Amino acid sequence: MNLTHFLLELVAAAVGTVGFSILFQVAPRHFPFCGLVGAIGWLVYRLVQWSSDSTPLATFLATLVLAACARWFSTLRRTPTLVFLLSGIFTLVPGAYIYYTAYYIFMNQPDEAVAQAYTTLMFAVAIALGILVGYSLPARLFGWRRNVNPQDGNNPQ
Amino acid sequence: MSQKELFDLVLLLGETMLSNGGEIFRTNELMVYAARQFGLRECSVFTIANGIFVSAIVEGELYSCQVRHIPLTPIHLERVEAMNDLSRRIAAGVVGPEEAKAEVHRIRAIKGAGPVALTLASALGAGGFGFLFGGNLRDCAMSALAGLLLYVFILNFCNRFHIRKVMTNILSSALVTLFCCVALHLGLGDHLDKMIVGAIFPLVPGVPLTIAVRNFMENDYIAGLVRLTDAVLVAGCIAVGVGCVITTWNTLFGGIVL
Repeated sequence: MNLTHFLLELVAAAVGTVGFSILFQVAPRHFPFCGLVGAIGWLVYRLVQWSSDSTPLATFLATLVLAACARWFSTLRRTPTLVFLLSGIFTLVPGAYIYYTAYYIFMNQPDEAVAQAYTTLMFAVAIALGILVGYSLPARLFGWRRNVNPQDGNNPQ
Repeated sequence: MSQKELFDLVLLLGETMLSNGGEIFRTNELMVYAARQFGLRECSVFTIANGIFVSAIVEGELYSCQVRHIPLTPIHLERVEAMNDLSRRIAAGVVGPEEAKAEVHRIRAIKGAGPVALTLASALGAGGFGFLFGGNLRDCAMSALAGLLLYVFILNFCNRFHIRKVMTNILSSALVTLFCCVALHLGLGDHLDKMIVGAIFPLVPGVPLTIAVRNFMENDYIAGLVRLTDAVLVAGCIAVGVGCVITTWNTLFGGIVL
C-alpha cells in the first residue's frame, strides 16, 4: 500500500464521516470537525495495525484517541461530545464483519460464520473499552476547568 | 404558569432531549435542574431509552406522576445541541418557564437537512466507506450509487407507506444488494462484498451499539439493553436482506465468489 492510497483513505474516512453527520442532523458548522475526528480515528487505526498487526488493539487505541478528540473538540466548540463521537465512531464499527457473518450463514459455512461473529464481538468490546477509557481521562485535560463558571453556565461534556 | 403546566413543561423538555438522541444522564439532569429552577418540589426522574417516569409535588401535598412512552426515533443532533444549550441556561437561572417553553417549541420545530441532502449524504457515506473497506474507485462509485438508491427507497417508499422498521431494513438492504449484484454482473464494479459493505453502511447500527455501551458504563442497564436489542435486531434484518438476495442470485445465475 502506497502513500497516495493511504491519503485517499483518510479523505474517504473524512468524507464518509461528514456524510453520516448529515444523516444524524449535525449542525453544518461542525462538519469540518466531524470529518477531522473520523480521519484521525482511521489514521490511528491504520498506524497501529501496521506496526502491531493486531486489529482489535488498533480498534481499541483508535477509539480511545477518537473519544479523547471528541471530548477535546466538544470543549473547543461548546457542544455535546456526542456530536463528534457518534459521527467519528462509524469508521471503526465492525460493519464489514456483520456483513461477512451473515454472508457465511447464508452460504451454509457455519465455521466461517462463527469465526466472523467472534471477530465482530471482539471489535465491539474493543470499541466499548476504548470509549470507557477515553471517557475516564481526567476532564481537566480537555480544558474543562476553565468553563466551570456557573454564571457562564458552560458545562460541556 | 400553574404548577401543573410547569410539570408538563419539565416533561416536555425531557422528552425533546431524549427523543432526539440525548443521553439518559443528560435528560435526567435537564429535568431535575429545570424542576428545581421552576420551583417544583421533590421532583424525581427515572429515564430509560424509550420512556420517562417523573414525579413531583404539584399544587399542594399530593405526589403527581407522569409516564411517557418515547419511541426510538432517528437521531437529530442539532436539536440535542440546542437542548443542551437551553439546559445550561435553565440551570444557570437566566431562562424562566415562559421563555423555556417558547424555546423548546422552537427547538422541536428545527427541520435540519431535507430529503435531498439526506440522500446525497447517504451516497457520500456509502461511497467513502466502500473505499475504506478495500474497494477500488469503481466499487466506490457503485457503493455511492447504491447508497443514493437506498435513501431514495427509504424516504420515498418506506416512510411514505409507513412500512415497519424491521421490514424497511430487510427490504432496503435487499434492494441495494440486488443493485450491487447487477453492477457486478454488468462489470461496473469488481468486488461484490466491498460494494455491499459500503452500500449497507448507512443502515448499520453503529450508533445504537455505541450508545448501548455507554449506557452500560453509566449503569443504565435497562436503557443499554433496549438499545442493544435494537442494534442486534437491525443487524439481523440487514443480514436477512443481504443473505436472501445473494442466495437467490447465486441459485439463479451463479458465479458469485467472495
